[in-house]
Amino acid sequence: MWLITSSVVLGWGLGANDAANVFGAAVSSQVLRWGTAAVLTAAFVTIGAVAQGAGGVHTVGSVVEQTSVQAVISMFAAGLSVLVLTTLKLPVSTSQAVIGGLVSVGLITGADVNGQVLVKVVTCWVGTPIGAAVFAVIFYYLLAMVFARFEMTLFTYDTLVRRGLVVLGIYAAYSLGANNVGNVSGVLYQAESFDLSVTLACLIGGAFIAFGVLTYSKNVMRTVGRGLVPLDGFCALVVMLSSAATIHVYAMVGVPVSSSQAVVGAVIGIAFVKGLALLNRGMVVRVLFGWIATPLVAGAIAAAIYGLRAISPML
Amino acid sequence: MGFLSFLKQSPKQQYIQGEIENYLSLIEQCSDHFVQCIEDYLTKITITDEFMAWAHKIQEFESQGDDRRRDIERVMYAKGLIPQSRGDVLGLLEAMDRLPNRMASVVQILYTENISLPPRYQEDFQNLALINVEAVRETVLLMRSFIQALEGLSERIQRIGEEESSSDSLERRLIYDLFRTDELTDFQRIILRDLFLEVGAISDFAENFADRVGVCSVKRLF
Repeated sequence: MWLITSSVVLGWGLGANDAANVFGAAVSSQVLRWGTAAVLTAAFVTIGAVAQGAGGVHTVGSVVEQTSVQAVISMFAAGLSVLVLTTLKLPVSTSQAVIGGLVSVGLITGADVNGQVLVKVVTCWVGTPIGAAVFAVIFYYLLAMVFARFEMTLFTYDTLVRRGLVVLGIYAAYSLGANNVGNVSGVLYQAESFDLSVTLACLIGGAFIAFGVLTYSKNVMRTVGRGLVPLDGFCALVVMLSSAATIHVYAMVGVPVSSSQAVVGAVIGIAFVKGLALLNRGMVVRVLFGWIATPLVAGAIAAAIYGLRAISPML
Repeated sequence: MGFLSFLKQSPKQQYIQGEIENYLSLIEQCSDHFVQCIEDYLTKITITDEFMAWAHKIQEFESQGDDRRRDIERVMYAKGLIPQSRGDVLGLLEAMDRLPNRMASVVQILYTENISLPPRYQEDFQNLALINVEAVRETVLLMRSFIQALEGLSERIQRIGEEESSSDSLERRLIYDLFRTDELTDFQRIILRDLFLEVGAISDFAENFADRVGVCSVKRLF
């Protein structure tokens, strides 16, 4: 029961926060109503989770062998750290919080942490913004070639951007579900007490994320999305496509990564192409914080909960 | 067919495009009436009933233009266009709206101040008015090009710049002469100078509009 609750909290937080990276630009530029965007996101997150989420679920489940109680502590710590850091308005990545919680409990209990998987996961974290930046450069020129083939009247441009924001939003939702469901379902799948099939674990995880999207993404989608809009319509499309493709690639690799860091990487790629000073200290801090501080905070919370439980077995 | 329908404009976009075309037609009509008004004034060198009828029409066009522009803005903000296109169109319409305003203002100065233009300035004044009206007509064509495609924009922008330069030099020559002739009192000089500056301001605003179009069009070049 506690494990389910922890997964629901984690999935809910993930859906509420990361939906902004999917349809934020479309909603804040009034191309789509929030309700339509939320339903599309929820549907395609779930489809992506079921269709291609198994790799991530296996990876998260194989970081460390845990008992059900340890799994509850790891997931609860990850959920709590996401909640605390989000409340403090600090950049946070669910993927990195989950791994932080799992590794911390694993180290404390002396369980065998799978170093090979951990190296793969951390490499993918570092590769996320870099990959998104590279994709952004490639997609910028490819999309520019496509756009250049049309007689680009103001209204054709407007229509292409509007339709593109919706189509790429659907793709981004699919990628988000495929990639991030491992964070929510990996530990559930590993827990012996549930004995879930991987598809069912993915479906449950996708539903938890969809729950977060449908119930709490409204404000985040409107405010965070505005950050993408000043880029101009064409660049917003490139950022969406690049970040979605990046997390889709990592879904196929089987490693959950941060969609926010993929967006930051894609913006950096655009800045490189356009020679703009879009890269600022805040963006670097955002990525570094995700890489280093988020797993540390989640690990510290997990250690604290585990310590409290040792002192008071009632917990 | 499938991909072409993907690019089909929404009803709101079609409405906005239609309303922009109506707005541009109003500005063209306003320019035509302004020319008629000035010609009538220069033929009779006094304010006639015909002049007042033309002037009244210009005021009407200017007022209708304001209403149409506000309507376009309202539809654009009601999810008609993405913020980038909305910002571009809004900025351009506001810049363009100054042109009929200035034409109406020239006509108003002529009849409220009951200006009597000395014969030595009549031909140049007519030329000044025609150059400025030509700049307005070019802005209408420029806006159409911007809305429909990007071809020929730079030539049109350059042409408006040339009209503005011609207007400036004629305006300077007229004002230079005003303050050197013995035929006028200081009071007449000031009145006529303000009139010439007001007419010349039309092409200044046209050039400002053309500069904006140049900036907006760069965003659609990849």
